Amino acid sequence: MTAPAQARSPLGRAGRRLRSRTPRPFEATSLVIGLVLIAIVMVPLLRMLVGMFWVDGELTTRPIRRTLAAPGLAELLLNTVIVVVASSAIALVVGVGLAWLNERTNARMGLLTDSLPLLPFLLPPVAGAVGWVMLLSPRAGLLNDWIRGALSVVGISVEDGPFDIHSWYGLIMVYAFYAVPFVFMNAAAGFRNLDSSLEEASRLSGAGMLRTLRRVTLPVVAPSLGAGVLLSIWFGAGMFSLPAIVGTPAGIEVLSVRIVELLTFTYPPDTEVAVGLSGFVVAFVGLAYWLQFRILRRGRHAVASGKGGAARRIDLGAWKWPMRALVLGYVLVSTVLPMVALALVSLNGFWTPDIAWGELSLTALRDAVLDDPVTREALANSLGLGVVGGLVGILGAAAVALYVARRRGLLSGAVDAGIKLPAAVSNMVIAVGILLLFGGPPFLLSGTLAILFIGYLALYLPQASVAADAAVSGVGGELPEASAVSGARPFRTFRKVYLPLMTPGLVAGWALLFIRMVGDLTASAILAGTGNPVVGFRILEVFTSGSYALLASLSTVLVLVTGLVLAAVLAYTRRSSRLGVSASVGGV
Amino acid sequence: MDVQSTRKTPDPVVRVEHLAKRFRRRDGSTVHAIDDVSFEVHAGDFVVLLGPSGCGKTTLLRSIAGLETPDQGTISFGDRVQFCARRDINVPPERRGISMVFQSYALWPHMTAFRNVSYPLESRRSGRKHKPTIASRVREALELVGIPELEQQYAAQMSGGQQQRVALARALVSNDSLVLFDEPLSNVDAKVREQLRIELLALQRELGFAAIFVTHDQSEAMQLGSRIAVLQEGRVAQLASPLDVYTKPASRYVAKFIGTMNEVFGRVTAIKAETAVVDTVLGELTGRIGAESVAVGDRVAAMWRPESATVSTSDPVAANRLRGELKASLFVGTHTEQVVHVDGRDVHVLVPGADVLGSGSDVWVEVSDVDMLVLPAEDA
Repeated sequence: MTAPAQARSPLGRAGRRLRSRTPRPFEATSLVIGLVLIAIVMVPLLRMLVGMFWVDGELTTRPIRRTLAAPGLAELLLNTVIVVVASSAIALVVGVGLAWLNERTNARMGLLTDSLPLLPFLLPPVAGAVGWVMLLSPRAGLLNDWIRGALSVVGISVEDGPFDIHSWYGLIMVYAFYAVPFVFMNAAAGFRNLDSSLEEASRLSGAGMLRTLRRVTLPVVAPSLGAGVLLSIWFGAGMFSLPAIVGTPAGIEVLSVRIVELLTFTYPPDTEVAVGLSGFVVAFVGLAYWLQFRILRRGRHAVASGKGGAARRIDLGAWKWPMRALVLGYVLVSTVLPMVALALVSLNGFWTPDIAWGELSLTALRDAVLDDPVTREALANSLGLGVVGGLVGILGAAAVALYVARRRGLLSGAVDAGIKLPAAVSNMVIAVGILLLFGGPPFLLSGTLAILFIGYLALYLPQASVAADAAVSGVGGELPEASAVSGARPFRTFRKVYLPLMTPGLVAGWALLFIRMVGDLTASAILAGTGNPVVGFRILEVFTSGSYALLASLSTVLVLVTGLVLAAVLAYTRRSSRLGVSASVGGV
Repeated sequence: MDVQSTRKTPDPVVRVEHLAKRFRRRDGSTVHAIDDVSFEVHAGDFVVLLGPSGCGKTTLLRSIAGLETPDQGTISFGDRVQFCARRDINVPPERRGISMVFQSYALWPHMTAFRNVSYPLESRRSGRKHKPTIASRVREALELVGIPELEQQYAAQMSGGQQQRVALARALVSNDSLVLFDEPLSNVDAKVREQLRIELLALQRELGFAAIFVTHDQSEAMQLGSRIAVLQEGRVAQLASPLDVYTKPASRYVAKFIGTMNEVFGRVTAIKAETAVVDTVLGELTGRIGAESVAVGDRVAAMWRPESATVSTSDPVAANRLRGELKASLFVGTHTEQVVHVDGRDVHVLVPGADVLGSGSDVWVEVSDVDMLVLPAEDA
C-alpha cells in the first residue's frame, strides 16, 4: 500500500487507545470497591483467628485452654448439634416435599405456592420467635388456650399446655420453620431444571411414581438438596434470635447464645472464651461443607439440563386438593399464625389469652413504639442503617459484579470468591471479629452507628453479591457488545443498556438487604448497645425485661415495615418483568 | 495532490494482516484461536468464514469488530488502522464505524423495535441528527427488512424471525460499508432461515455493503458467499469462490469439509503435466494434482465426488475404473444414492433420476481423470 502521510493521519485521531490490559478508570474503581468490601470481612475474621493465640501482645494458648474449660461446654456443643441437625433433617423432608409438589405436580397454585413457602426467609426470625411464644406458651399461649377451650367442650379439662414452646420440640420446630425456605428454594430450582424425559423414561421402564421419585428424581437433584441442607446448617449454627427467645427459658443453651452472653451480658466482656467458642461454630460449618463435598463427589450426578422443554407435571388426580390444602396449611401454621398472634397481642395492649375483641386498638402500639423515646431512636437507627447500608451494599456489589463479569481472570475470580466468603462463615463469627477489630483501639467504634454499619455490610455482603450477580447476568454479553458496535461509548452503554436492565435486580437486591439489616439480631446483639440502639437490640432488651406487649408491638412494627417494603418492591419488579427484565427478592 | 491516482487499486474495506490470538487453557497449554491470518474484503464482497466449532471463526470476527484483542497483526478498514499490535493501536468497537448482527440477536429488551434501531444513529458522534431524520431513517430500515408494523413492539413480543429482522435493521440503519454477521441464522427454523438468506443476499446487492459472515453450515456458505474462507485450527485453509472451493479444494480438509468425498490412499508413481498416477489398494488411479507440493513417491489421497462418478454394467471407458458389487440403491426423488462395494470398502455414487440396476449386480464405477483429485495425505 502506498498510502501517503496524510492518508494515515486519521489514525492518530482514531486513537492510541490503551491496550485492554490497562485497567480503565471504571474497572479500577470497581476493583478498589471490591477489595475494600473484602477487607471489611477478612480483616476482622483474621483478627478473630489471631485472637485465639495472641492476647495482649503475647503468644498464648490461654483462650483455647479457657474455652475448653468453659462450664458445660460438652452440653453446649451437644445442644447445638441436636438442634441444628434435627431441624435441618425436618427442613429437608418438608422443603423437598413442598418443592416437589410445587414444581413436579399439578398441585401448584401459581404465585401462591411459588412464593408463600419462602416468606419465613423474608420475615425477621426474631418476630417469628416472639409470635410462637405468644402462641404456644404453656399458660398464656393463645393457641394453647384455644386448644384447651376446644378440649373442654368435649369434657377434658387441663390447667395448662398441652404444648410448651420452651422445650426441645418447640425449639426444633421453630428452627425448622426458618430452615425450610433454604431447602425449598434450592430443591425447587433443581426440580425446575430437571429434564422431565428422565422421569418419563423411568415410568416407561416400569417404575411407579414413588420408585421414580426415589431412584431418578431425587438422585438427579441431590446436589441442589445438598446445597439447601448446607445453607440450613449454616443458618442454624449462627442463629441467635430463635434460641435466645425460645430456648433460653427452657434452659437449652446453644453456642450462639453463650457467645452473645459472654460479649454483651457479662462484665467485663469475656472475649477470649467468646472467640474460642466462635472457633467451634467455624469448625461446625466447615465440617458440614466437607461432608457435603464428600457425599456429592461419590456419585456422578447428572447435570440437570435446562433444555428439557416444557416439564410435564404429574397429575395427582384425587390427591390434588388434599395436597394443596396441605401446602396452604403449612403456610398458615408456619407464617400466618405467629403474625396473627403478634398483631393480636399488640392490639390488645397486653398478653392474655382472653382477647377483648371489641377493645382492640392501636393505643398500645403507639405507646410502645412512638411514645417511647428509646424505641423511637432504635427504629430510626434501624431504618436509616437499612436504607443506607442496603444502598451502599448493593451498589458496591453491583460494581464488583460488573467488573467480574466483564473481566474473567485470576484477580477477578479471587475478588468474586472473596466477596462471597462470608457466606461460608457464620454471621456470629464475623460479628465477633468486627467487635474485636473495630471496637477497641485504634478505631474505638464500639457503641457507634459506624460499627453497626460495617457489621451489617460485612454480614450481608454475600447476599448483596448474589443479587447483584443476578442483576448483571441479565445483561448478557452480547447486549453491551451490540451497543458498542452501534457506536456508543462505554458511559453511554452503561447508562442506556446496563443501568436500565440492572435496575429491577438492584432494587430487589436492595430490598433483601434492607429487610435483613432491619430485622438483624445477630450483629445487633453483639455490636449495638444503649448508645447505638437498633430494633434488634431493643427487642432483646425488652425480652429480657419481660414486657411482652411491648415485645409484640415491636415485632409487629418490624413485620409491617418489612412487609410494606417487600410488597412495594415486588409490585415494581413484576411490572418491569413485562419487558423481559426479571428480578426477584431472595427467590420471591 | 491527487491521492487516488497514486494507487493502483482502492484500499480494501477490510485488510487483515498476520493476525494471531492465543488462549491459555486451564491445563496451561495454549490454543491458537487465530494463527497468522491474512485476507482482504473489498467493497461489495460477501465473505463467509466457514469452519467447524472451535476453528476460530467467531474469534476472528469479534477481533475485526474490536470485541476481542488479538495478540499480533494488523486490522485496517480502508486507510484507517483499527488494530496494530506492534504500534499499540486498538480502536474501541464504538469508534470502528461498522455494524454487527449477533447470534442471539442481542436486542435490548427494555427498548421497542424502533428504539433498538434508532440507537446506532443516536450513538454515533458523526451521525447525530435531528429527530425527524432519525425517525425517517429508522422507518426506512424497518421497511427494508419487511416489518414496518412492529415499530412499537418489544423483543419479548416478537417471534424469532421478527427479532432477527429487527437486528438486521439495526445493523443496516447506519449505512456502514461493512456489516459483520455472527451465525445470525442459526436460531431460526429452517423455512424462515431459507427466506432470510434470500432477502439478505438481495439487500446486500442492493445496498452494496461488504459483509463478513460466520457460519458452520456449508450449504449456507455456498449460497451466500461471493468468497468462502475455510478455516482450520485458526488458519485460512482456502479462500476462494464457492465454485473453486468445491471443485478445486486446496487440501483434503477443505475437500472433506465441503460436500462429500470418496477417498482412497496411495503413493504417487508417476507425474505427467497436471496429472498424477497413484498406486492404491483399488488399483492404479489417475487424477488431477490439487496441490503444488505433490511429487513422485508421496503418500497422497485420491478423491472424487459421488456425483462425478457413474455406474454401469457395460465395458468402462473412463480413465479410472473400479469393479464392484452394487450394495444399495436409494431413490430420493431428484437423484439416486448408490453404494458400491469395491474390494471391501464402500464407494458412494450419486446418479440423477431413478436407478435401473438392481442390488447385487456386478458393476463398474467410472471416474474421469479430470474429476479425480490428488491431494497430499498428511493434512486433516
